[in-house]
Amino acid sequence: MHHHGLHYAPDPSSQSVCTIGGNLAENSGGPHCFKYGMTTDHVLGARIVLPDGSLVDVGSPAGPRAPHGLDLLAVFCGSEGTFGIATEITVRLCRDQQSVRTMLAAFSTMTAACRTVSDIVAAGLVPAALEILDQATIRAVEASVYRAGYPENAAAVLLVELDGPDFVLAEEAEEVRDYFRAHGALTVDEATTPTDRKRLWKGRKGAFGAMGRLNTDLYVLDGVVPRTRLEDALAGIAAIGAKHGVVMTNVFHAGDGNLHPNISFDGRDPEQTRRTIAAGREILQLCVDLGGSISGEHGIGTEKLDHVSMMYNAADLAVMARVRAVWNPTGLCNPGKVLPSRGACAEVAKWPQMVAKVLDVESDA
Amino acid sequence: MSTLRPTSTSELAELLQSKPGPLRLRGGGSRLERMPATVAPARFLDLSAFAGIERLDAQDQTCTVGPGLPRAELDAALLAHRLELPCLGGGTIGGLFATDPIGPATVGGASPRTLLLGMTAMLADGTRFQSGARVVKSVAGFDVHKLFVGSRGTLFAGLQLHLRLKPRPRAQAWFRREGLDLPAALECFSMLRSLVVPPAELQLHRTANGCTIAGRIAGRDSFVRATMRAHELREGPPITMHHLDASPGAEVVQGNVPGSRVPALLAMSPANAPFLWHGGGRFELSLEATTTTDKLLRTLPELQVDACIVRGDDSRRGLGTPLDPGQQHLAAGLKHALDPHGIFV
Repeated sequence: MHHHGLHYAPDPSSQSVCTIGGNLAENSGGPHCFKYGMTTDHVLGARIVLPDGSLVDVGSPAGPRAPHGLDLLAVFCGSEGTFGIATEITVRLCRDQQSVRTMLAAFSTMTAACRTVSDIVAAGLVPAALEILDQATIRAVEASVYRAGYPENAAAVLLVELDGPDFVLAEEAEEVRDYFRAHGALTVDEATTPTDRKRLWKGRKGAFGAMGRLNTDLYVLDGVVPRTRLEDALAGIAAIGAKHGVVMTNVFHAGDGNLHPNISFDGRDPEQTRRTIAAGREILQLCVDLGGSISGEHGIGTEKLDHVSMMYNAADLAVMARVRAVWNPTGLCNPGKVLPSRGACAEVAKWPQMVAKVLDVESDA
Repeated sequence: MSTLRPTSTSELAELLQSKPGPLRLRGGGSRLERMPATVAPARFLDLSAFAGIERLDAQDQTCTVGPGLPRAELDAALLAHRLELPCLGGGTIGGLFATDPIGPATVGGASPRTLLLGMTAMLADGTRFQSGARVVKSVAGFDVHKLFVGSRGTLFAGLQLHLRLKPRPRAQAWFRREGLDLPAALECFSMLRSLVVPPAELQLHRTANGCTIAGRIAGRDSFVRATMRAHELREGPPITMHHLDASPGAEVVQGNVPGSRVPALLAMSPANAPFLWHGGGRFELSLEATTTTDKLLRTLPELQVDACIVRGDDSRRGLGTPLDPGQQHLAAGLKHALDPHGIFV
């Protein structure tokens, strides 16, 4: 779309390898969904093959719901392949913005970085992206091929991307700089050229790859908290990490409160695996306790089947199961995903085995 | 129709468990004349007692409200925090989301579809359930709550709606161009709609006296002034009319149309038939004769345009272009799965 001056807005970190069908199935997000919304906000229609082989067309180029129809596309989006298979997808494209400015500020505390985000958002600014990396992530990145020149002495770096008309960006960037200053930013790096922007994003985009250097395995978590609870969440995550003696790094979509705590561990060691799984579960429970969600963009799959009961009770899940049964009455499509099977939602003790299966290791729990 | 007014969740559950027969959910009543008539005698179920702002997290830009909350009350509360619910439509919040009056696609703004983060709801058998979350991002479980948007309250009743809010624009200006002929109006509309930052609201209204383009530019003060100047937009009064009324004997068809197909749509309809088009693609067309409407509804699928009658005779409201058979099958299945006895009509 680039040569038409258009782009498709959702940009999950996996965008170089993921498919639009996968995005629809997962309702994928990404750094820029703070301003532009998730996949569900950009899909207009789909041709879907139902489990019985029949075809259904939902939505149209004019909009995802007919005025006299139900919004079937909205409920299909994010159903993780359990409702059917999309074979044609109509998406909305956005016009490329006139200019983009990327700013990277380093802070001596995570609190200062989080409060800068709160102030930027409270001021009514809507950056295209607001991303934070903690010190452990910065150091992992800087020691890897994704080295981006992030200051290794910083407790956190905040990546802010602004887009829009030139003259508006100049004003917005000045406001953002004011917030950086007010919260004692150690350094501020700014990029206005595509090459420079790519450099600043390199560390963020390569963060998960860089963490691969820390140990043999990486457990990437995905949870959401209200943005104003980010500080509480990060403090809680650190405490959980310390309690279980696991190596934790954090990189997250700060604007959305979408956390990605990551635990590096040696999956060949059953004890490390057990502690990793236990810490992961407690972190997701923390997100729910703070008013958030067990998944912001990665979905449930099988890994989080037994976490679903943290958010939903049996009645909630039964209603979801009724909806799924309309699309997929025989359970043919992606069986065992998203909803726990009968009774499993109450059996939290079962979850370590389930996660261990996903991690392809033996669990001794 | 008589009206039932439960005052608490437990009272509503008891009422529904008593097998009350067909019920029509009623918000502020402002859109009743645009709803399809009930096929069986029904009573109104009025949720005006569920009208609280239960939570307003200004910094997180989210809130939780009851479905009976009037939109005007929410707007007033949000104004104090420099926030807004950035979609058109009045009445109650429950009614606004259940009827989705301007449709799911909007230009420059959001729609109820994108603003409903989650909800607590009740099935027709009195089962209370929740879907979605209070935070701005969640993909846990199926988005059953999104089925509420545009469902006209026929699947389940909302008890609490978790909404996403946005900062109020720092500046805004309304503009209006009147007396345009149709080609000029379409050209102007198309140009404004395709701006990188399009107007927050945009409307084309054709009457017997010509066409009017109206809208609102929102953002930073410098952006608003520059956009108005660059496109020679003259300030005008705010848009207050979002729907067409039907003159006696006439009916109004509402639908979604991509911009490129508007000329073809208008070529299929009588010259100078009142036409209203929102920037997001939702249109309304007022037609004098039912035969004209029927002919139009038969031919619109050629343009991939969905539409239905929203104003007119009781027996005609709700008639529309045929939906995809698979879609009809799924819709019927969802109705049966969530409301097997057809309580919510």
